[in-house]
Amino acid sequence: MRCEEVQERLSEYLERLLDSGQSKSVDGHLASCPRCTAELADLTECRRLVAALPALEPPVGFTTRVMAHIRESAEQPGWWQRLFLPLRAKLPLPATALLLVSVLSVYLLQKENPQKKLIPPIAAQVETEALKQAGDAAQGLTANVPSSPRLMLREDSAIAEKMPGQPKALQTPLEDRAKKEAAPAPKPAPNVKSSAGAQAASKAAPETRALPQSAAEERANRVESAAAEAELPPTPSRPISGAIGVSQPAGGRPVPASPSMDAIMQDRSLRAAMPERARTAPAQPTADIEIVIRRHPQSDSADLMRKESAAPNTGGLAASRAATAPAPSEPLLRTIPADQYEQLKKELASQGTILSEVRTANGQPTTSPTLTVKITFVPAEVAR
Amino acid sequence: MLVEGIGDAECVQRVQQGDTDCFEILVRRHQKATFNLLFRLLGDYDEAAEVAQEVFLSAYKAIHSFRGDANFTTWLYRIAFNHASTRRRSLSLSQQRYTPLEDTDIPNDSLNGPRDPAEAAEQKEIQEQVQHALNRLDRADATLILLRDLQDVPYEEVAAILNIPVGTVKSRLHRARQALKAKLSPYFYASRKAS
Repeated sequence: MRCEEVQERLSEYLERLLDSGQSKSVDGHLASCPRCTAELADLTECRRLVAALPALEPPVGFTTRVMAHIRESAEQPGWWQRLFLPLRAKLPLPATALLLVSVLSVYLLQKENPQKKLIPPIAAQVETEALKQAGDAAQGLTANVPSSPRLMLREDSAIAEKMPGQPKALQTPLEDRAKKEAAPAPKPAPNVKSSAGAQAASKAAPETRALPQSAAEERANRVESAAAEAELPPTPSRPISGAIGVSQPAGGRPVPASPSMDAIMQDRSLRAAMPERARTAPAQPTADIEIVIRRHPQSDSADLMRKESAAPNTGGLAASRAATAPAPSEPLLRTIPADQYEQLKKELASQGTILSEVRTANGQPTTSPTLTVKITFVPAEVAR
Repeated sequence: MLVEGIGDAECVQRVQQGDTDCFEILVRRHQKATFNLLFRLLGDYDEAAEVAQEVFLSAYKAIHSFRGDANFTTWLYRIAFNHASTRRRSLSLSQQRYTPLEDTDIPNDSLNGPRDPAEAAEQKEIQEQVQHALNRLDRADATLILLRDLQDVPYEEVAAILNIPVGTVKSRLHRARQALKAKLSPYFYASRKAS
């Protein structure tokens, strides 16, 4: 065994960690090698010197100080505990905040979801129908009647807007409603043109899904208005009087203020374009009795009125009839006392043949002291 | 109520269950060895006392992570070694730094030596030389020597404390002893000459 090998094992030899064979080999080498023996003596002295180092006592009160620090730190909550403890004091605050945020989120979601769910279908439906309407208007196919209530109202509104000079007070409830719905619409989308072509409508259709409902409504309204523009004939210049919009100034003929819904309905093109619901919109006011009279060929309404106005005993009834001298085929609305209805009927029978007499109040007897009678004179040739 | 007779493992278990007082048993039981290890590693009495206090505080805070796989002393010495290394780095203690024992506040009964003043002075000088040599050693080498030769810690535990294999402990311990012998050679030379 060489000196280097022995000196490598001297530390383990010193601690008696070598097996018996290695230990005997080292013993044999050390017996014949003073250098390795001196090395072993130095290592043994090193161990002894280190082991002989005195064991110092810790400072007085070391344990007390350590335990004081430990108990102090044990009383202090850790960072995790500082975040959440004590629960009694800190839990209510985050819990309340969380609850408020949750409730607000749910409320906002519920408030927003119906819009998200409903806007695209409604907008798409309106756009589709507007597209159909515009296409029909362009092709003159006016038989396609839209079914969407919103679209109907908007058509009503579009038609009403086409009537110049009509006072707002004389507009039908449907028209008012359509106006109100169209009123809150914001500024129109910049890229939507007001042309009635299907191309513009198809361009606007995909954008409508992302727009608010009011914008989509206005866009549909624009397209529909354009369709109505393309379809509607010029405003009739002839005087139209009817149940609605007839002003009757005292002492003169009834002045047709503006075309009413009934007048519009007389136009075939308008009738085709109008939705069924608008066509059957209730007249205002409603006559209790409708009488259709075919005049005698020799009879003339002016003569009739002159005779009636000359009769001394007709009183207010005659004056009322004179004030509303009819033009041929123009219906008249008369409000008379209920007990004078038979007298009026006799007078009418003397001027022509009563073709029909219809009580319009659903056949129910009226309890009102007055009756509103709608009188329609039919010329003899028309009746034939 | 402190029960001094219970073992380290049971003390640790009780502390883990919330019995803080049981930790006092562990402190009393291991404070001297821990403090001496730190004092020999740091070479400064006050530093050693302060670091020893930090070691026990750290041990208490981390007591729930002690699973009982090793001895409590092994776990505690490992904490002490880490704290000593950190403290040495933070204080930039040089290997030459050495606080003479007479300059430290050491309890009087700590130095049990010969009653002959001349012999006591010589022994004290030798101890200072050894401490000085230890202070100039690498920390791991000094720790190996101190754990094995001063504390008589088994190789397996030394390996666990330093987180190195047992074989590595043996080889490094031999080199550490060689290095310490080289630093103490003047003493050996003088002693041989005297003998």
